[in-house]
Amino acid sequence: MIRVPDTPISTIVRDLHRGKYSSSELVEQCLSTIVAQDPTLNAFITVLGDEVRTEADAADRAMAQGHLKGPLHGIPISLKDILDVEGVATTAASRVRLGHRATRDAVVVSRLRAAGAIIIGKCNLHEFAFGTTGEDSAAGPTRNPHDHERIPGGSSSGSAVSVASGMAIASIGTDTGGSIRIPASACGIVGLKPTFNEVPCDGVVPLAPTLDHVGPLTRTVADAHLLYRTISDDSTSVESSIAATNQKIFFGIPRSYFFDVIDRDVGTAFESTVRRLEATGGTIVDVDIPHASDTATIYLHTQLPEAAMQHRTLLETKRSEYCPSVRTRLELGGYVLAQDYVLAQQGRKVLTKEVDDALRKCDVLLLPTLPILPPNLGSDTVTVGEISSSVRALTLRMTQLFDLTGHPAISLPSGFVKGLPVGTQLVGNRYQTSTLLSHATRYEDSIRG
Amino acid sequence: MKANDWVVHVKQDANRQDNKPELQSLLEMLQASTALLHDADWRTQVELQPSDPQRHVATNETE
Repeated sequence: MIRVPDTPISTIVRDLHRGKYSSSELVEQCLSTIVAQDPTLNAFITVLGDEVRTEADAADRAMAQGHLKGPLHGIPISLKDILDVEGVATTAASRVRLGHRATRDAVVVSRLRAAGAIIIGKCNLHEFAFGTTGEDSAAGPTRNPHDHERIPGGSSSGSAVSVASGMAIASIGTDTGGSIRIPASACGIVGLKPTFNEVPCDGVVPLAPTLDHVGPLTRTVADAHLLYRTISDDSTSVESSIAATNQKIFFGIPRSYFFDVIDRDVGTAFESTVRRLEATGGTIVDVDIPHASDTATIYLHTQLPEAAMQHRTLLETKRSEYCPSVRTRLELGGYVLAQDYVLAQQGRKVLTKEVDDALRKCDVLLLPTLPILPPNLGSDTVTVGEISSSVRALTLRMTQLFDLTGHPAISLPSGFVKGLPVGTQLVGNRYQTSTLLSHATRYEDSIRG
Repeated sequence: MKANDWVVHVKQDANRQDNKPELQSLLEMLQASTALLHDADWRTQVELQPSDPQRHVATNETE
């Protein structure tokens, strides 16, 4: 049996084309890793074993006849289990969804299949994507592959773990407050939240519709770019976006608020990343987002009522089926006044302008993805310095602003602290996700260290 | 209903739920967060200001 190649997807597809190995062999390797590791890690809710083998066989036969379906031909990809796959349950990791069967593929799934991808299975998540730890799930908690007693981050917990442990070549997740970038950082992989509305959410169980983003979790930035181009409406060519970045890059660090509460070791690791970027030609400037400290309250008054609205009927009919902590926060959303929701939307406009203004002084914003190392499973709070804060608040602190404003953001792995991965986040201009990806590609080696 | 009355109402309502302690705790957090929202200095920039001649906004004040 082959090892899952540690190369970008484009190289794997080329090797498949050359007959170096087959899609069936690739799929069998991923399935055997699932059998070996998933009883511990709990990354998958549904594994599509028989269908996957049939599709891989068909992909190999097509390849033998010279037919390449697309840039993901024969590549096994996992999905967060809130994306519909025809004929398969979309559980959202909730007992509330028991008995569900999707009648058609989500738009994103159709696009992946059209590019030749093979859907290997549906991944565990924080119930209804409403949480950042991956612990509250009807399928049980997902564990971090780097330390089984730690959280993998969420809510796209299983997606990140499936990629980090070689159970899938890439995955698709969703990000409402950081749910792609947080687990990507905690598991040591790449996670991209595109610009808001660039990737269709049709066929995806909503959490908060004005905040929900769909995006890829991958091993490399090149893979994230390939998947982004496959699932998004963006038609910018990779070549043109790379050409646009052959210039000196300015990285803007928003020091106030974001660095007020940060684990000392994580902060030290970030400063090392900054020095590596400077050493490889990047220019560092300080930028300010004056009302960044209002992010959490604006987010709360947006996300809670939108989520409560999505679950209003189910909370009446299937209340006892929810995980208790998720249910309680959904119920909390029912207590936000409409006028406060509207006020929060005005606050979003202020924040969006301020992020736009900050990006006029630099090409990308640069900050850590998480201010802390992945906490132990079951932790409600983490102490940073002398301040004890909720795990939820801390894990969202660096990411949720860009869900409110819709700016594209990517988390890249940037080494290890105490054996645990840390991530660095780059944020770009709205509707310039490809340019952000090109900047990330150019500095990926420096950031990884 | 004014915001303060609403807080009293929701606390009474939350008392009827079986997850009362957790919900009450979160309601206190929400109340503190709402106070921050109301205190935000950008609020005056985005609310209708009848006395601001530069904004030329229609108001709902009764003549």
